[in-house]
Amino acid sequence: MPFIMIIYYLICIYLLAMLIWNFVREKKSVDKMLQYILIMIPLILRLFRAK
Amino acid sequence: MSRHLIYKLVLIIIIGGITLIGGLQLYQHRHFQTPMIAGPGVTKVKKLSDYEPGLKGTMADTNVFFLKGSKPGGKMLVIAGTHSNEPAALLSSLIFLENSTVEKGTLIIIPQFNNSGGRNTRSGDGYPLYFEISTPWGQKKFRMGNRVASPLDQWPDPDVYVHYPDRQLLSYLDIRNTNRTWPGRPNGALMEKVTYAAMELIRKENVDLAIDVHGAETMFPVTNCIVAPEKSLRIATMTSLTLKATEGFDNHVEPSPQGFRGLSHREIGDFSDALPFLLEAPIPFLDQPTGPKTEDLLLKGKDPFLLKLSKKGKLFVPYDETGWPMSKRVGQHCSAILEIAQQFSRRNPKRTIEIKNTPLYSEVIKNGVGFYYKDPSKAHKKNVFYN
Amino acid sequence: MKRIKTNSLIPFLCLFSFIFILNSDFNYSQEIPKAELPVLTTSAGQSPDVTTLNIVCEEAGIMYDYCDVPDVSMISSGVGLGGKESGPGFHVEINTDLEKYPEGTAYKTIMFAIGASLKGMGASGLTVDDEVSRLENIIDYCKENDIFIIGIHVGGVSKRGAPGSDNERMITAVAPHADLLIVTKDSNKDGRFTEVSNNNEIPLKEIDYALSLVPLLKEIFE
Repeated sequence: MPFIMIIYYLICIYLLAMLIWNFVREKKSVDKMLQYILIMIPLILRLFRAK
Repeated sequence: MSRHLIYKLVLIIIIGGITLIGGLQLYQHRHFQTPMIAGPGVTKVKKLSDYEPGLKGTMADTNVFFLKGSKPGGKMLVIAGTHSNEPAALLSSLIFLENSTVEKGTLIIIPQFNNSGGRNTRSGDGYPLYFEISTPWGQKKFRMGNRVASPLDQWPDPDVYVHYPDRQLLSYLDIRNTNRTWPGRPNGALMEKVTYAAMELIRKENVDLAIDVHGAETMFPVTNCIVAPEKSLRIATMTSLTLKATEGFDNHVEPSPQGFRGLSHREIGDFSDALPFLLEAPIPFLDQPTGPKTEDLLLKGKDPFLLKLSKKGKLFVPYDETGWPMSKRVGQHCSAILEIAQQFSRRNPKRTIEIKNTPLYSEVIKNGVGFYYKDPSKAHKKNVFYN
Repeated sequence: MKRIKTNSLIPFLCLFSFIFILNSDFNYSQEIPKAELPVLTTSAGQSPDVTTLNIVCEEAGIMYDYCDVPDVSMISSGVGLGGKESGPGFHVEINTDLEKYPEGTAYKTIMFAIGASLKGMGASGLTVDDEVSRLENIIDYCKENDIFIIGIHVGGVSKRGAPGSDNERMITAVAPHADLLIVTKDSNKDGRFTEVSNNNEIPLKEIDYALSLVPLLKEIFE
């Protein structure tokens, strides 16, 4: 795997971690909870090498 | 349990469930293998990485089949699967692979040139994940791929793709499109390595003819045609005229534009002695204004919206209620490939390429595409290859 | 003087009329005149059909000169086209047998491949009006110098159009002035070329496929 691709996967992991943290912290808005979890989908699919 | 926790749990279950189900299907698609039977004409099977070691162990590596005749002659390379959402190319190459024998010269076939693209999907555009071809022994299942390689294999894309070597600026997506990365380079992006490997094959094996097989929209002017650069124009024109007269279908000639870089029909000719050709058969499935992108539309090519547009003269091919079935597209490709070999052999008798046991256009239409595929469960294990 | 019985004339008159009607309807489609070398091939409208014509000439063993956008001065230079060479938007090929027809020998025949292409005209820096004007000048020169004109249309329905369209303007510029018209059945689906042939007394040969040009041109240039 080229070095730049490894960097991008690390960025993915970081973004996913941020989204999970914000999802956990969110206590009021269901819309925001839904937003966070939806945005996680492509990152999860990429990290698990499905899409 | 607090309310927000309940909401979160519900969201995780629903969204997580959908992601899991969808993700599993995509994962299975990526790893689904299609069996290909090496027919009586196959004498050797190599890998593309034999010509560019940088492909070894990657999803971009793919099988290269050699059908060498008992008598010496010329060499013809058939490249299919450059765009995996144009399945007539793969299907016609398999007909050659599983049936053809070569008397003189050598036929080289790469059925799934962009192997990564063949494992990519376009489910966001409603593409089916698979399609099946009816055969005398059952249904043969194929992956429905995408035009470009999967980002799982080549990532990230640049903002703008600077083509090597002439530095023409192309769309960022095209760095994953193996019909824009010719002639390629050994130290470039993965798809540039794929096309470089093919160029090395062409140069090292002294290939005379290189045919890249494709499909194009009915609303696109460069469809139902043979694209050829200046040095291939005479053979392409005689092929087109002969096919019209003897087999009754149109396949006009389009000159390869000199200013548009990266395409096989331009760069193969510019960077080797081979004569390149690119075959386009109409594929209504790819047109924008169609109904749902179903397997039925892919295989039969029948669409009521295209029919309406055809009556208004908006299509570039004659289109009626019969659509443009897969057998017609595959048949056109089979006949065009055979005729190109014949026209070349006529002009170059010392480099004759004589191919037998391959159906022509009318036979494929009569018998259907699947008629020519062998049952992998009955084939000898050593003759079954997977892509 | 012996009186000729009227009723014995009637069958003869009928037969004569029948032959006359046959001839007046079909005379121009059946007679194929001969043409002479040296020959120049060119395009009327800059479509790729001229490439088809050139390749067919090669298959037929006809050695031709070719230029996509010749003007009168080039044609009047004869074989070799005055030494002109290909350049951007301008293509020349000299294939005439120079031993038989040395450079400068006047062309005896010009073959026009009729079909319009805006891409082709644009590449040569021409508008449709420029192209029509160029063709008219060449036709006038041919008429003045007894050069045999063959108009060929093998592009089929895709190289036809509504009246006044680019394709039809090219046909209007060349076809009524030709000495021989060769078209495919597809190209003549609406009978336009038959009408031009009959109105201008021009022999018309309709072929099934463009490939049939090979034996036909061999016969014409025999």
